[in-house]
Amino acid sequence: MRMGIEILVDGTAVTLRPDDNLLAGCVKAGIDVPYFCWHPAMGSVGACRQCAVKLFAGPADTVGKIVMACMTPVTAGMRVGVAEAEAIAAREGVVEFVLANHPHDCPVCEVGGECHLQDMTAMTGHVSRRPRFEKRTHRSQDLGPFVKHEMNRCIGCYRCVRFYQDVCGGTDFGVFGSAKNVFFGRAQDGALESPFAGNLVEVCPTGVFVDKPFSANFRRKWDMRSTPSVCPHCAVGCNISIQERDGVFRRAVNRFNASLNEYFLCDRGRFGVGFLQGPSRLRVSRDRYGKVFARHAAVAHLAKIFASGKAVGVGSARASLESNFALRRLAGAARFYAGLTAHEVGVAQAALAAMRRVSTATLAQVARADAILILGPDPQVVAPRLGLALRQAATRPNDALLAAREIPAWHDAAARTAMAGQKNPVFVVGPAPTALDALARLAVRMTAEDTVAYALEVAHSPAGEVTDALLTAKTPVVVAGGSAALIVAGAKIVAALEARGIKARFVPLLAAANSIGLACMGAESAGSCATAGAQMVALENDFFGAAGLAAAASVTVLDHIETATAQAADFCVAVGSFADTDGMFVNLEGRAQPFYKAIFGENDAPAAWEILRDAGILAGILPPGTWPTRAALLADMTQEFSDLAPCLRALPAPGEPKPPGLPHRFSGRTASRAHVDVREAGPPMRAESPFGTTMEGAAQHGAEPLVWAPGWNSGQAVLRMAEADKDIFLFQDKIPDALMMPEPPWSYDAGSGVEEMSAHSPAIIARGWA
Amino acid sequence: MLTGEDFSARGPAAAIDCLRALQKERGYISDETLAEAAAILQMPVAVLDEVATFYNLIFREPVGKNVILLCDSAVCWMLGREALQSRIFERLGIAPGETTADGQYTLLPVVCLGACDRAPVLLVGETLHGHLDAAGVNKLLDGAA
Amino acid sequence: MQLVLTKNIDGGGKRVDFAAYARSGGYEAVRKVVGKLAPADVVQVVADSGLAGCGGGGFPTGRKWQAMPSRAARPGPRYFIVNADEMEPGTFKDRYLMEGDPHQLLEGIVLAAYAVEADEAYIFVRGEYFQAIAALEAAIAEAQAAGVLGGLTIHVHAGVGRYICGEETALLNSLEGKRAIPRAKPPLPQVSGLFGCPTIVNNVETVCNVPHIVRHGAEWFRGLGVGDEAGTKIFGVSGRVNRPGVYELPMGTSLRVLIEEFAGGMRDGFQLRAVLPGGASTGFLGVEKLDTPMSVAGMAAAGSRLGTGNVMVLDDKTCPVGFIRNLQHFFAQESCGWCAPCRDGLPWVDQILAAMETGQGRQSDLAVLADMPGRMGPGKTFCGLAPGAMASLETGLKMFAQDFTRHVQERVCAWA
Ligand SMILES: Cc1cc2nc3c(=O)[nH]c(=O)nc-3n(C[C@H](O)[C@H](O)[C@H](O)COP(=O)(O)O)c2cc1C
Ligand code: SF4
Ligand code: FES
Repeated sequence: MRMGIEILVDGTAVTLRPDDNLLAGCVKAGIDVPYFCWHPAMGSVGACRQCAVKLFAGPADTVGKIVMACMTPVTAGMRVGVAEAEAIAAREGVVEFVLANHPHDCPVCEVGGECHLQDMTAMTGHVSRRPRFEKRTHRSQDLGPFVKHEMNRCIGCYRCVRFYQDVCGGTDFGVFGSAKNVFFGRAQDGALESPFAGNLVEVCPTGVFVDKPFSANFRRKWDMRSTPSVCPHCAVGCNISIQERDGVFRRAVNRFNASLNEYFLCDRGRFGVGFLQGPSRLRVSRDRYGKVFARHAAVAHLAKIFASGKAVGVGSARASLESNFALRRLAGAARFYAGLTAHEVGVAQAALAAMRRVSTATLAQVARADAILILGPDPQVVAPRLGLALRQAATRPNDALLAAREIPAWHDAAARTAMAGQKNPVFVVGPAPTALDALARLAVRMTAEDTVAYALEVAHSPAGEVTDALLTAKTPVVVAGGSAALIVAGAKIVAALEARGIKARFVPLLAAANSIGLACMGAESAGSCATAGAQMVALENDFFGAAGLAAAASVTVLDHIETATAQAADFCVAVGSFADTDGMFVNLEGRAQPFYKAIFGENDAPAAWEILRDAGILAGILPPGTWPTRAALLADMTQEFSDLAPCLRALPAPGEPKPPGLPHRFSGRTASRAHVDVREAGPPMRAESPFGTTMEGAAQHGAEPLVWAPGWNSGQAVLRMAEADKDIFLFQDKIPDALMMPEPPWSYDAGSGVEEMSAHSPAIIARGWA
Repeated sequence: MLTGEDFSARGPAAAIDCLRALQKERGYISDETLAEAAAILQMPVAVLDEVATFYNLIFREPVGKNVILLCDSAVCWMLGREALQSRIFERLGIAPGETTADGQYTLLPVVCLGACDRAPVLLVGETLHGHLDAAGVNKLLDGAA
Repeated sequence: MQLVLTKNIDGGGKRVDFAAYARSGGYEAVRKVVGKLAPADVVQVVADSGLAGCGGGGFPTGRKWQAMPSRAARPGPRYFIVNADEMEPGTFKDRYLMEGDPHQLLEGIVLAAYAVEADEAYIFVRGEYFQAIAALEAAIAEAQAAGVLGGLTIHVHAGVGRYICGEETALLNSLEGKRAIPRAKPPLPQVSGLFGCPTIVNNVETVCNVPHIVRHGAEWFRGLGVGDEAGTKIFGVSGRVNRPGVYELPMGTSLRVLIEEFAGGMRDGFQLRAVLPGGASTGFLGVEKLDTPMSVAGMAAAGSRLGTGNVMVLDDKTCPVGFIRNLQHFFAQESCGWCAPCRDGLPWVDQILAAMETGQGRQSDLAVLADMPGRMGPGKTFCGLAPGAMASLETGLKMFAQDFTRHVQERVCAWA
């Protein structure tokens, strides 16, 4: 337990954490100290000089001296003046300086109204402009389809370059020139190479880097509904907020989760969600001749198929637990298959077995691991945000070294100097090169079989460089994927370490948002399910690759995007995507993550499970009144799969007061549909969400996905509340004696850069990733 | 290729030495030279360019065969460096930052050359000339020609 | 008057070679000390001598060395670095020492490195000092051949221009091949310096004093000054004086003696209006302060700083606004661009002063200028560059208030 330290701020006692610097402490305690260069994930460098406060030497000191709060350790009994005249003047002065060259183009700036620079300007009390000379200007660059560059807005806080190079290890972006001519960009025009470049949008305290697809589809922050959601583009399931207006998706932004994605997303996630607004959305149900069907006709069609007794259900690792479960119930357990290859099912089952047996690391634990072994494919390709966490672990300062030099961990530049390029032990073993090789102490290429053999040797041998590093570490992490055998071997290493009392943790490398959730249902590969005469029902799945269609009597697809399978199907039923419906995924940490209807369009398709439920009732498979709510369905599901029992706890408790779903300043509600109907429609209903759908609701600071606080209109307001979440994990209580899976046959899947849904995002297509 | 020291053995730490050596050989650091240096130093081009564009005496654009560094700091200013600059303009037609059409001379302002006791001063190539006036500039340029 | 640092230098630009240096007692201190005295004892002698850093800060050298962890406490590489960046306008003493008597510096390095147990030394010379670089390289070759360097490697690193490289932590980044951005202290370079290793950075003149202190003792060194402060000091004088140049005089010599006796007073037709006593980063002193002793404490008491001890003399025929504009332009241009006030504040000051010089100044500009020292003073910026710039602005605004007002009211520079 960390002890608090009491200090005096403007005469008032405040308790701060000793491992925070004074700025972080004050900001978290709700004291408004403005800043630009500090960032909780990147620490302090003291560059912007915005966080000036007075520090008094002792009770007798009346003069004090100006210090930067972000560079000042918190010490017991310290006396600080935020409201001292000299400090106020210094802070206002800095804002005046950085605004000297700022274009003041707020009306046409995408960040206007959610700009940290605007907030800080107001906070310092700066109101009038004195510089009267020509502003220095820059030529902005074309940085590719994701990020727009408006260099003239730059205030030189250096956050972008620190993020891009130090956090992500990017090498194609930097700071050029010197003095007043510092330029943050690329050496030449061209798409940013880092797969995390999109975070620049949130890292920049003003509008130098903006979300380009959003810019073309722009609304002010306060004019958008924002809903907490979960990224569907890989098994990490980063927390995001979906922002919409008028039933149209506008953008996805990071949603802080202290033990998962913290402050950053990957570009596949941020820009992949654009598939919602892409050209290949499947919005209406149709048959193979293009005839359009209404919802009730689609339900009737499905009911007929299920009533025939010949239905074969193909589930999906990207569909929700609810929809998979509903399909399984209707098709029958024996006729329900995973829309995956046998290889993929093997991988997922091995991962599940491993998670039941050994501890799984959260992403935050990965980022703080002190030794890492990666077995198999490139984590940065399969599950990009995991790759970033591994990178953070490799480059984070060594605690003992810092302690010896009396350098606090938040003192970023000093910590880097002290580390002098030294990396924490990371070992990468597998058949193909990975993005982490450059950081690795050892990156070994060997065949898939040899990798397994190597891993088993590490699990059993008491000596060797890798074993030594894992054995001397306090919190080592093993990441494994690509084949079931490798996952088994990786888990064995963790089990061996755990047996020696080391807090080792495992991360299975999985590709799809709900890989683990689906695996919990135990479905077999769809490889041979298309038997003659089968009436196939494929859920949110392009299963062409997983099963031949030829033999099937008919194919019905439920999906929200046009896939090759959908195009070849006899019948397509349009269902809602993760953003149109409520649902739940289980990520590669075993974290049960609910998501909520985020987009409220005119003709929203229902969730697949709702259509399936209605079809089931119509077919007489389900009694009338089955699953009136999603909670009811989940209750059924947990009866059947004990692994999934904790999911129920991940739902909001009924009856809790709901925070508003619209920002307080949401404008033009009445007018925005006036061209359709001058009567204002009632607010959309959304019974199970923890969020209301209007501006009204319980005030609950920090819970709002838009993250506003008095004086803090920008996303930076989130930096004020970095505390632990209350997420639910499936496998916290291990089954100690569960048998490990027998070692399955070799084969290896390296994964690709995008997955099924993000491949349909216009921005991802423009970037050339699809 | 570079002669002398083996920069690659020192890696990025040798960035400045390497750029200086290459510039001595080639006059300036072109994009191609920058890429070459980055390869020698085993570092990303953009990161090397961050370094190259920071310093005053690494030229990222072509300069003349003779670079004239004319001190523009306080003592030389006080003792008549403007007259030297005007005379150079009269003679060569170049203002600070410019290069003669024949590529012989580039004139650049430079911060205090640490020879204030001989102000005003300028540096042509590696040679310092002090106690100059307009006539002295004439003599210097005539001598060099 | 006793010459210590410059006694071998004839001023004609010829360097003292190894033989000549050895003849004058050179490298005697090395023989006397290396392997015979404990490193800590050498540190003690230097501490006792009262030697203060000559790079501009005046920090006691012995205390700086004492902060170096012992080799036993911190094994691994350790560095001793000589700061020969010398780009402070008005300063030219280090050039004189390096071109004239490079072995004196080398001997100082050998002793200092021994004292702080460093195994590698760097001399960071500004790149435009071609002659000094050549002199040092030749001297290192001679010293190596003569075997006086022991196991010490001395690298000469030629800089590629930027005043900020003289700031000791920016210098470290530059030596690492990076952009010369200063580092925050703490941690001190002694704890986490070059490549994160224990490191000492000292000015050329500071290091040149070391052989003499080791040879003749702390007592002797303290006796060289005329007041409380120790040693001789290399003063420089520039501007419209009769004999601009370098003068080695006892620490504490008065400004008047330096300017009138040694530099020969003002040239005919010119009167002394004010001086910057220690380079561009110090504040103006008026004629009435000419009797102030040139020492760290003396200059501080008079409201300025000793700085590098190289005096710039401003005469009555030079526009003080133009002079200050030149200084501010220098600082604005040489800002490294890391911290906001310096990067964006100094160019604004420069723009205002440039406008005044061309008759475009406004009354409101004066209020803006008056605000600046308070916003770019010590602690408000990341390093000492901007506070250094503010010294001449703050003192100049007061001392030359009428000149500023005239520029604004008459919309013209009277000296133009
Ligand atoms: C902007 C700036 C420029 C500096 N330039 C120099 C310089 O050129 N030479 C130098 O010796 N010290 C310079 N210094 C002082 C150094 O930071 C450092 O204090 C000095 O090298 C220490 O040596 P000393 O203790 O021997 O004086 C500069 C300081 C600042 C803030
Ligand atoms: S890491 Fe995966 S879950 Fe997270 S944002 Fe990227 S694609 Fe989405
Ligand atoms: S936040 Fe403290 S200096 Fe930038």
